[in-house]
Amino acid sequence: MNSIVFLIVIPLIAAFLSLFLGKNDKILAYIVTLFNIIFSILILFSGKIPFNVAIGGWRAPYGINYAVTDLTIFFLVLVNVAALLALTSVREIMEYQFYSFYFVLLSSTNGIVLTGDLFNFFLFIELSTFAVAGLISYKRDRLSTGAALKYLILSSTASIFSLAAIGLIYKTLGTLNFADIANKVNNLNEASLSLILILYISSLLVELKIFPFNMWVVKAYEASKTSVNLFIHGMLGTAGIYGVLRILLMVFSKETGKLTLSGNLSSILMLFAFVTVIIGEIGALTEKNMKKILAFSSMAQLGIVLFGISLGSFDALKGVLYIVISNYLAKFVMFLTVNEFSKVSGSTNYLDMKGLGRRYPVLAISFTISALSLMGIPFFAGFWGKISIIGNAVFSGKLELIGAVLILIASVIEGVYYLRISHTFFSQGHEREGRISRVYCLLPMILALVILFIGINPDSFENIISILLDEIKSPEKYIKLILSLK
Amino acid sequence: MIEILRVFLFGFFAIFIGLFFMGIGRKIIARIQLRLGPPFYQAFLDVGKLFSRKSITHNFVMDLGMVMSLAGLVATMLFVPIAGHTAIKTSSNLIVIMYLMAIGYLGMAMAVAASGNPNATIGVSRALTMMLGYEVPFFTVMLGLIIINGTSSLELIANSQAGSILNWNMIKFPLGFIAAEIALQAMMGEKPFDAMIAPAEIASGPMVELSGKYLGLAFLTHAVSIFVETAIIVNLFMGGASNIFTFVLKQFEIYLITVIIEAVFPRFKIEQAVKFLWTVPMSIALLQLVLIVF
Amino acid sequence: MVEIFIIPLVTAFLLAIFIRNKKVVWPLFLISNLYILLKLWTLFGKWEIEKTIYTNYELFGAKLSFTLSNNPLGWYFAFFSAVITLVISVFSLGFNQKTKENVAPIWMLIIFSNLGIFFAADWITFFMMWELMGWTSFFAITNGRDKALNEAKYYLVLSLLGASSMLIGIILLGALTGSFEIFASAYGLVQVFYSEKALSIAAIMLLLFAFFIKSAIFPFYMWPSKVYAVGPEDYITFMSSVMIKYGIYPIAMFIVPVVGSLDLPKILNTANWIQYFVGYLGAISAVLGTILAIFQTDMKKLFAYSSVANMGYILLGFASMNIVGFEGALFHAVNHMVLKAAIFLTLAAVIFRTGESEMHKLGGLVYRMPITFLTFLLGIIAAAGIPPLNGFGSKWMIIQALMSQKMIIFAIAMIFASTGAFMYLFRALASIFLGQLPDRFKDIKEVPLTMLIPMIIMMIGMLLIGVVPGVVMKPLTTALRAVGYNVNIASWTSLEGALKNSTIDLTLVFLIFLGGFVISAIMYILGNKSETVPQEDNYTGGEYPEEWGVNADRFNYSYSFYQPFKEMFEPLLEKISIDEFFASIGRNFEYMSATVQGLFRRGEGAVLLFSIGVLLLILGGWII
Repeated sequence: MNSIVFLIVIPLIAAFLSLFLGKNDKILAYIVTLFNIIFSILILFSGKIPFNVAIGGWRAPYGINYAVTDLTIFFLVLVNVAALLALTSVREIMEYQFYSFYFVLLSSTNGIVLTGDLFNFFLFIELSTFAVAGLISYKRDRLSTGAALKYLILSSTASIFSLAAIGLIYKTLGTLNFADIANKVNNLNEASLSLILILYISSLLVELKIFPFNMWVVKAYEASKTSVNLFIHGMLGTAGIYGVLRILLMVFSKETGKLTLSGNLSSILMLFAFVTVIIGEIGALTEKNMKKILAFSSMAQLGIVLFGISLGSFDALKGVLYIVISNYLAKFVMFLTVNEFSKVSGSTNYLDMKGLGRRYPVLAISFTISALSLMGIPFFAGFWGKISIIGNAVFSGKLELIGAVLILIASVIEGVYYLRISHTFFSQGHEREGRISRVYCLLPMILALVILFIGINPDSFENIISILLDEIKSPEKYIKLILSLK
Repeated sequence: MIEILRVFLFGFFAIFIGLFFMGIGRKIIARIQLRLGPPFYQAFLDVGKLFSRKSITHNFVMDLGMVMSLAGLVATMLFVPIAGHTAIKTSSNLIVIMYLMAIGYLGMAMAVAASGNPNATIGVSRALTMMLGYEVPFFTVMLGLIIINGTSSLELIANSQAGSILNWNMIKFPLGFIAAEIALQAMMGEKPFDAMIAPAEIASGPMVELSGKYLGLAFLTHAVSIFVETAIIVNLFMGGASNIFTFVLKQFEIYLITVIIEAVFPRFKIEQAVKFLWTVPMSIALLQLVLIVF
Repeated sequence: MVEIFIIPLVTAFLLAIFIRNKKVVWPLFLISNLYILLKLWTLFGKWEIEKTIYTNYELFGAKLSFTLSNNPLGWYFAFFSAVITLVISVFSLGFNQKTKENVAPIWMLIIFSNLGIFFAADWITFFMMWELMGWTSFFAITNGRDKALNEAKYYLVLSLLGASSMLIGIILLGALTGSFEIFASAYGLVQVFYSEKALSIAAIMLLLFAFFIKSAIFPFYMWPSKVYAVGPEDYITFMSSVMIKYGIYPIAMFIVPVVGSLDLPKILNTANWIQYFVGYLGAISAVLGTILAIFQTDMKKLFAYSSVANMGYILLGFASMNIVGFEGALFHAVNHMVLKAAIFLTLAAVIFRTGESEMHKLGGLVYRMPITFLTFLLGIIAAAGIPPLNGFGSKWMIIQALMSQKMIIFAIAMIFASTGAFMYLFRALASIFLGQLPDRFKDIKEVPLTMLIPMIIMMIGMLLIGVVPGVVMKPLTTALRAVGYNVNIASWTSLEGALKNSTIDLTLVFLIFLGGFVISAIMYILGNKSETVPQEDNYTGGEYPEEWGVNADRFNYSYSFYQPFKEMFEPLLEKISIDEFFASIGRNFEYMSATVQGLFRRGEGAVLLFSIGVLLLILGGWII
């Protein structure tokens, strides 16, 4: 299974190729993305999971290794599918820079998910930062350049921190391999672990869009194209969540599957989480620009994810996975819908999209379904996440209870602005010139149906999640898998 | 068959007594004001004349409403035990009586509002406001009696006072009686609580468009309401009576008090009236209620 | 059992597909409702029917399952709401010929959730249906019209807040009792109440919060007046008669049995504090609803506040914790369903013909819409609680129960509210139907037959329940017996009171009233003939109103109908403005939103904030 490297290498090669192909870049992009999807699905069904690949034949603690476990393959498929879905929203002819950056992003997000080495992880994060900044600034106007710059500044600040953390780890534990760190983390004293975690978490929180590390988010979403929004959301965001799950829960974890933070630190993390939720929802409340609304909303959703993780219970973690999948699907539906509608209405202000839902009910209904799922309404996927997280938060302690209440209030605010938008779609509007092809309605509809299906029949998803949870519950299996490799 | 006969008998008896009281009332007021006054049977003559005259109506609601108003009051009257008798065997429930009375008022209000004269509607609006004013203290008094007797049957409450005069609720609960008397004054629409009629302001309010038999029906309604309201007070506070003559006499005593007050008082404005009813009789009634319950 | 859940869903789907074709949509809607009603009819007595769906989804270590069961109390609510829904859907057939928007598919979903709420046997199912009803109502209220957006948002916020509180309540309950099943958790709650007092009370209060919001109990009494004023009229009829009972049903189903089985200390020897808490909220709703209803000028708002007052009565019935009061409250729930549906249908008919809902702009419609007038008349007589129509019996039972429990303040509040009801009800009658017919309404006609038939049915219904209360009381007492209450099956005609010797025979009351009517009619016939004159022929003190430019429209006394009364209460109402309080919360959120957006728009402080975040983390880590 050494061919797993193709997932990273082929996009990288394509990134070079795209400089020369001109208009054929689009075809290349589809080919490479499809290759990644098919390849990862083949791995999924190969029956060899879990397995470990040592690059260059160097054994695990010394060399770089790529590990494929259930968690990995789940996120791998999500990232690659996200890439394909996002590509479908690219309609106009893009210049080579766009595709080049896209390939780098594809390669680096695959790498983030696959790698079993902390420094390698850091490198891929850096790579993705660079690609995303390029993609954001692709429009080359004042707004996008500013947004890209801001993202770049924040990310590089973050990377300094994570580099410092990596240095500290290497100094104290003498290794950078995930499995090896996890194995030795109990040797670390409390103070150095805290310091490492503080440094590392602050860099991760930038990718996770957690307040106050998320000042780049709204502008970046606003300034870039829809396809880039989807790259950030579906590829970078998903890979970031994977990183948090893997590193915080399985690598730097003294107890299995729990955030091993000292009391105050985890409280502050939780505080960040629900402040993010509140800020995200409140920010979106009176916003008119759809892209900004969606940016605020994804901030809030990731806040809920972090809240669920910091609760430190497996039931809550299950909820987190439901939220992740619901947010993943819902945001795709929403961005695609907004993309279509803004093309017809000529603006991203939702008030200008009045009445479009009557002409294109499929899109508007899909949008509504996604909104309801994000709000955590029953019969939609998000509900199973919400009930699990809230249910576990209520009994965990005072701060958790306050957080649960705040999240519930935030979901009320979310309901107000999302359903207001849905209402605007369905209200009486004036005639418009443009047309939306039926084909483009199909994809959001399918995704919305998936949300509905998971919502009505959680069994379908519950089995997958229980496999993932099993892996998180027993990191020693992961350690064994990697370290016992001859 | 005998029931139907009793219904008619009781109905016409109430109308008769009511008109009779009205006639005497007018005479007494005249005497207080040092006038000679009409003869005591004047009310009968008035009604007879009104029914024989031609009249005007604006639409069927007026007809329906006037008939409904007398019907409601007569039906209420049939529930009230008169000297231990009711037209038909029922439990003579106080709440039923209070609510049935309302249908009469509603019918009247509807009829006069249908005439399309704003004066009439203003009168009705005042009457309904006044109703809210007096119902609350009156009910509070009733509540005390109901709670202490453990029943809401008017007949049982009357029977519980049998025997000596000292058993009368009037003696046992004087505060309640006073509150009820004041509320009764408003219930009958006599001065100082006659803002809904106010001839000088709103041209007799509800009556402004009534003529001929409609006015006659209104007269009869008023007569029956006098009968019903005094009968309720007699049953509640004066222990009913063993025979019909004593009962009517007691009713007349109550009516006399009302008439005398009516003769000497000026008129409250409607908001003054309601405020008064909600402060003075209400606090007396509440005091009585507290004394009873605790 | 399962059919009545599948049929609405399938119908909703079909309605959504045929949404543009009105000729298909509304008949389909009607047929589906008819089917549901017939199916419910066959379910009577088959209380053992149950359907459970198992899932692998684990919560608190137990696998969730969803159970729908034919529980007697739920059946009672579901059946009567299905009857009302059917009648309204006949009305919608005619009513929706003119409207552009189409609320049918969403409405069908609400009917689905309606059945789900009444038949849910566990809290998770209940909650799912409850939430479904919340957001679908939002779309039903706005119905694609921008003018309804603000009000619908208000409703949405309240209903989401209620659902959130209910979610926490359910979770607490599940953790306390180890079961999500409604009956099992009620039983379990009584068991653990004394050991886990604070949590148990918290669970009860959180649930009550949600139920109160849905039933518009004080302090959440504003939403009906906002929502009813703007929603589509036929749907609003459904909302005001059926949907407002959603909060009542779980209180009867869960809260009352639980509080009833607890042995709490009594205040002044009368009742425990939960009873007083619920009772006071009910009493305040009844009184405040009445006072506010008196001041409204919009007829839909007026009857919205009337609904608030009626919900207050029902709550008072529960607060008495007396079997008569309990029966009375449940009886009143159905009575209110019937009479509110009747009243709102007539309002819809008036709006259908005139397009006007401000009462002072109407008047004299009795000349043109006599049947509508009659329905409205019977409706308000019923709403005022006057025999022989329905509404009296249940109010009477509640007052009886309150008096027998010596809850004097509640009894007085109830009497205040129902006397005040005469004021606003008559005002509506006089302003809409009586008085002078304005010139611009000279040409309107009575509504078409499809809208008349439902109104006539409602008239018959009100009279029937009023004269033969057994129509409702028999199923009710049967259901209560099946649930386990020790009650006698009610007779067809009479009602049992809570006090000594207080059985009343409503049929007899009706007959006596008839007797009175005959006497009165004899007097009427004895009188001389009368002559019908036009409406302008009025006593005006010798003046000609036309000379001052007063036409029929302005010759009505209807704008400030109770001005003196209003002046008495104005200072009080100005001080206590919960509406303003909620509005200020909304405004504050909007200010905050602008601030947050500003923060992200400029974003100069990005790195600064980053450093603050790190500092916070370090601080957190430092203080180990």
